[in-house]
Amino acid sequence: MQRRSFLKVGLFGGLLLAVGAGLGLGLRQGDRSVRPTRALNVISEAAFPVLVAVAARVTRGTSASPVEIAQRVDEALRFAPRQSQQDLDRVLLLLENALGGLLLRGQGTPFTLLDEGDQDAALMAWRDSSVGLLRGAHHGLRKLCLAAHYASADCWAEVAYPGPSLTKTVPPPMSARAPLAVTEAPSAEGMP
Amino acid sequence: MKTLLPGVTEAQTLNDDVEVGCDVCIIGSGPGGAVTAAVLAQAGLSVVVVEEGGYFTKARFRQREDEAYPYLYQDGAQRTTADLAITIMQGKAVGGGSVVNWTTCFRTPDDVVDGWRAKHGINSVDNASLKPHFGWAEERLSVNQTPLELVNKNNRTVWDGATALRHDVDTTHRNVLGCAQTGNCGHGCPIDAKQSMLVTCIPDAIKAGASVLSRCRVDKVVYEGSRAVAVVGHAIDAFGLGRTGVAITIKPRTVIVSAGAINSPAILLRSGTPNDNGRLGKRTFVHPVVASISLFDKPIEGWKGAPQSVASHHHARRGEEVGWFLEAGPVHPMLSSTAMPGFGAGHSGAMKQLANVAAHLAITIDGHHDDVVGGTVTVNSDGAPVLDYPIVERQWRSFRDAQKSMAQVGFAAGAKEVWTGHDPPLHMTSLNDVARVDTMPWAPCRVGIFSAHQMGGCMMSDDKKLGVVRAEDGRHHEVDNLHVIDGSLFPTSVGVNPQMSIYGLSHLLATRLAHTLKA
Repeated sequence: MQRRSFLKVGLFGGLLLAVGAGLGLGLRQGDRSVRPTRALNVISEAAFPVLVAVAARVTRGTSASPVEIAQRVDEALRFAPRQSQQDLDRVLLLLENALGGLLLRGQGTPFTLLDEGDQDAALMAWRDSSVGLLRGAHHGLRKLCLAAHYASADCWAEVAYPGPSLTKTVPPPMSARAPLAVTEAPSAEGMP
Repeated sequence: MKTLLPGVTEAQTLNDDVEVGCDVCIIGSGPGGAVTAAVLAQAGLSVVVVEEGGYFTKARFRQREDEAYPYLYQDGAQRTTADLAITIMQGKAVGGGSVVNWTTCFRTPDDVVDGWRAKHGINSVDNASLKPHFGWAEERLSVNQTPLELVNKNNRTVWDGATALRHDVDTTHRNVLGCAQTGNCGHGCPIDAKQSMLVTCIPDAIKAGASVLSRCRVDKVVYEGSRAVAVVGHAIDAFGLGRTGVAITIKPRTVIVSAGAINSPAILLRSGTPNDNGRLGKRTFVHPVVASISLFDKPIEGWKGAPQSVASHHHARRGEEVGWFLEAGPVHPMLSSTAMPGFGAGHSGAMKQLANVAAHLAITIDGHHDDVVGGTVTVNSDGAPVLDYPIVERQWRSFRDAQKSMAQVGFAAGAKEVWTGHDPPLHMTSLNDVARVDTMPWAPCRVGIFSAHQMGGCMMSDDKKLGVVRAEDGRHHEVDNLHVIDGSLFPTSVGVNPQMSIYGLSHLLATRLAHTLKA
């Protein structure tokens, strides 16, 4: 799949939204009750509940809070190129889109209104799709949610990971215009 | 026109626009740029290095994945090929990829350099001319071979499996001094044991008078006629996200692009650099990696100890088929979670067995067959690089063969199960299952593919029709005072972990260039 193909996800999603509205399907709104707990950086308000629903399925079996995972994914996406940010938002809206669901997996229900088993089936339909861009979208969402949980200390006990072996002094917090370099080496315990 | 003081200036702290003159502006402070900066500064030239990454030092290297990946990797470790099929791990910091690599050092194999000369129009670089420069790098970076007793359990499974199968295998050489085996090479060394550019050639260059401007994003190189006259960029904030509003203009006599594969061609493309032969961005290689997960009935704890300390090149030379070399990969939670297939309860269940997992990597060697031409870098409407990397049938065959071989190594090392990198994976419980690898789907986004080695895209060749720059000193074929010195020069992948190849070639070309510029 080329970059231009991936962008077609957005175009495709936009087209579906327009056509679906004409058919009444696009007007079928999903569950918007989940709200962000802190300001969003990249993900749109409309896509956020979809990301939360995806995060809930992807991180099932862990201690992760789906809302917190979605917030962290949004924060991680700040570092991604602008086009990737836009693509990801469109992918979430496409997953939620009722007409998209009808055409891509034969089910005209917004993702957030599906029961858990059908949500898993919807995600696997993209994973196993013959369309490379949908497989790529599946893995993009999957990896972002997994990384958001497993990068943090929240997961360490679950996977018997001991965490850092050295005790180091916490450096000064980063801020936009301050130096990153720490001029005096912090004292550390456990250093060789 | 001002000058910068020697040392690192963090551009996010500047309040006023900067316009400075110098002999040489080097774009990028990784293995290519740092070595070149040290050589040229020591030759008495005034050198300014501009670097988009931040000036992170060991005080901020706290062995944490959530702090390392957003700040020390390109795109916050979210870089991929355009089709999302290959995840690209590429460093971004003062010191570049050397800050986060896994310290494995191999000289460029002789037959690879011979191939460059035979097929890619290179006559001013050969094994004899490179040899002393590898020697210099090995001494400066304290490269030494890992004793077998220091090999961790994860790497030991590679040793045990390969040895049982009578494959060629050895411990690796590493650029470390006083290594405490924390296992965090990929997160920035917490004790400065890794002899990265951050603690070697960057300080060498500064000691000789060089200035380094971090958090400076280069917009373009400006040309007048056949000469580069300025490097234009802007300061970005400490997080690497937004502009601070400070404009940066460097007016050097010579421009050297050392931003690494993918970024070096992208900078030249968005600058409108002459490209009459259309070679800019072509032949970009990534050593595509397929992974194998071996599950043992005993703790492996693959997060402990040097991430890479054993390698087998038994399958590196396969004639008409694409070869690979086998190494281990560290098993930290985040990195493993994204490589581990599946989601939900199946995934979290697998993650609970992480302590017993060994991760084996088949690093395939691209660019050595006529149909394996690598990828092409272009830039999008934002000027950001896009890597299009079609995987050809010969490579898919190699991935399949490597996956089978890694399963054999895993079982030979005592694994009770081996999983392929597919989603969903093939779970093998004995050697009898290995043949089933042939039945798995081999297509983009059906199997995990990774890259930690990026090469090419500004290929060197003394033949103007083939190369972007000449091999003698990395000078651009059409712009008199523009050079490229970094891993983007390689006409093929190097078939080994590439850092030493970059150090050696960069030191050779920079030494030659110093003579020219001093004349």
